[in-house]
Amino acid sequence: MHAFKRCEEPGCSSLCFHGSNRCLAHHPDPAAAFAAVQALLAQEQGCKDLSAPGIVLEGTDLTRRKYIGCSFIGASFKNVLFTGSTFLLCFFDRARFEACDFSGANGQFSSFGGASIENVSFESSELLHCNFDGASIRETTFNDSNLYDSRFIRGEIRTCDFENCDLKRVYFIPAKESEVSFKGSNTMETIQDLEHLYI
Amino acid sequence: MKIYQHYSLYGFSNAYLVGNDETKEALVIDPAEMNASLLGHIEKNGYSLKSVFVTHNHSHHVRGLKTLLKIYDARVYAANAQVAGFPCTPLRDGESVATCGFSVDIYSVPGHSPDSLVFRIDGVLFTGDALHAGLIGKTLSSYNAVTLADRIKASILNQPDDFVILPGHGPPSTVGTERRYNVGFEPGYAKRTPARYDFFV
Repeated sequence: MHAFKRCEEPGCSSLCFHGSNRCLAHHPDPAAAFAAVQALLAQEQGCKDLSAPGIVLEGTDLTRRKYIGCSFIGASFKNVLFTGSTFLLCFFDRARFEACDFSGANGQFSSFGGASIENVSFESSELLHCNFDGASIRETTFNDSNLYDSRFIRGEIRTCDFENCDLKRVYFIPAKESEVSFKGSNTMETIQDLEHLYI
Repeated sequence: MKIYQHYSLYGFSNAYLVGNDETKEALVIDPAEMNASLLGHIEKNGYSLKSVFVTHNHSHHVRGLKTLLKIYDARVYAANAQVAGFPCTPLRDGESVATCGFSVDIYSVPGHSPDSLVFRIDGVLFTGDALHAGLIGKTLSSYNAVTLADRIKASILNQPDDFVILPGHGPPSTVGTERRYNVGFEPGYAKRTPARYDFFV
């Protein structure tokens, strides 16, 4: 699990950035810190326990990497390829995803709470026990994915496809929903109201 | 700190193995099920299992205790003096337990059950059935639902936004996400939920 060390800058309570006693905003050399984390992310085998809150990545190829116990809270990803990558116990809360590709990804027990997800493909993915609560999801496809035990509570879902998905035990109670297709998915096995909670 | 989440099909609950690679000691939180997978993780890492922490005494969170204690000589911690027939070290709100090189902070969060506890190790909160991603635990009455929500607000949601929540069921979350999006804190939530336990739907 990533560390929870706080930035040593007086008055700052942000998490430290990887390899430093300061957060990215108070880092003496943010460019070097950023480059070091980018190199770690691009390692062929991926990485574990990385603390990279607020990192900004654009046009990066992270295909078939494996990330375990990493924090990307408040990060920003644009045109990033996570194709076929694995995420276990990773945190993307309040992150921004724009035009990214997670197709064929194996995302398990990870959180995307309050994230902004636009024009992203999660096609043919294993997204088991994933948290999308409060996420704003637009122009995104989850087709042919297994979303077992994942949650979509109080978010906004617009113009998205969940076709041919396994939605068993998925909590689907978004605050707003429009133009969402569930063709070929087992929506009868989702939980769509507070009358049928199993916990 | 190394955390391994184990999904139990008995009650669809999460058990957690928390290991310390420096001391080679580990603890288990809510042994819902003890099987070859969980055993393999303990042995593969060469851990000595020292402690078991129980968030609350419901069978789908403690069913694996019997098997686990046949294999390991671990000390059991819970709110009650006995769980599933095994003696426990009783825990109280506000106390801390030092074990496996970790400090485990205890928060009493009754509502789902009178003995519900939340454990904090560093920035990770093991919330049992008191708090899940997007929801609070089910209760037997609207009074308990209000009590539970108030207690969570007072002792869990006052933690930093980036603290991680690992619940007894369902996916993980963070304190910030729960503070913003959990339906359990919406006005009138207690009146809208049916007051009954319904474990296996």
